[in-house]
Amino acid sequence: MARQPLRKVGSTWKPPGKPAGQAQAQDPAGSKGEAALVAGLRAGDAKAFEEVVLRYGPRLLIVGRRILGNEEDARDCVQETFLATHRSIGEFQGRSNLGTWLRRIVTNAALMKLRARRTRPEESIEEFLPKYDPNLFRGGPRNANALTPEELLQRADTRKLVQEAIDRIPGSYRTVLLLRDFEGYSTQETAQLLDTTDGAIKVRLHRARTAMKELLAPLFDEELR
Amino acid sequence: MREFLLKLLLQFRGDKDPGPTEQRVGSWMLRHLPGMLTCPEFEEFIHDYYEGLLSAKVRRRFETHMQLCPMCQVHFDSYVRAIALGRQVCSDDEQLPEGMPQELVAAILLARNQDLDS
Repeated sequence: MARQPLRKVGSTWKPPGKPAGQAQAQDPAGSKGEAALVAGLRAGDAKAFEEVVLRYGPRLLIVGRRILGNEEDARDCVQETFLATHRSIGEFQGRSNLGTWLRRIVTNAALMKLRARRTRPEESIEEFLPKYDPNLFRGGPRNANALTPEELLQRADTRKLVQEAIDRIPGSYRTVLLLRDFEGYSTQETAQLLDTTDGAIKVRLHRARTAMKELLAPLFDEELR
Repeated sequence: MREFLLKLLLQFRGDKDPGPTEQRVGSWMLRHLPGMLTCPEFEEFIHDYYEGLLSAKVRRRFETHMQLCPMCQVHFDSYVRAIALGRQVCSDDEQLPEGMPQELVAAILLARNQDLDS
């Protein structure tokens, strides 16, 4: 039984930065292209509107799918987002880029749909949380493989496992994980979007991450090499 | 005393894997030396450690616990890898060269025109 190689704790660990290409996504058209598009939208130019739909729509659809887990609802959200854009482009002040602004609108639309949809109590997350023995020592494996995320992603089944793990996390926890870790919103922004406190977001985020780690346990097993 | 024992244990262990004796010594230190975190306390600090929000003093206590407790080390290591995997998979989704479904584009353009007419 090979043990996990010891690492010097703290010497190599660095807090992560924001995930790339997410809430603060770059404008794919570049700032000049965006300025022209915004001007076109403000002038009611149908061509500019269509170009915005074609350029930003695919990303918005991905955000909608992630939050709602349902193609039809995601498409409804994207349609609502572009209709809202058409109606309220005057409110766009250019403090963020157009893509970020649209992303926030679609996120809000998806969260509203999600709230309307949640009529039954969600599943408990308890089963994924750590267990301790009477001496307060953690249960669970003492060893793991040392494969990096990049190495794990070389395996054919990893992406499917990760997607399934995200889908299995109970709803309110999964939403926090998606917004905070995968969409790149800050803790404060996530709290505002979900109308709750920073403290509640931190707790839910940690539990969601812990649940994902538990669900991905087969990938970290020391026998997997 | 605590620092001395910890240094001794880590020097003895070096870069090799901890054997049963060292694990027993580590768990004894966690239970009996003052200022040590328990595993549930360690768990409570994971979020802030990961985000770089802990004070230097608490960070040292957190890292000491991780050095002495193989279960928490494995737990934290897997926690970090799980987040990285989730981010990578979601980020890769966005690189897919998928366009907008034509019928959705048509529906959006129609909705805009109807809005203009109303």
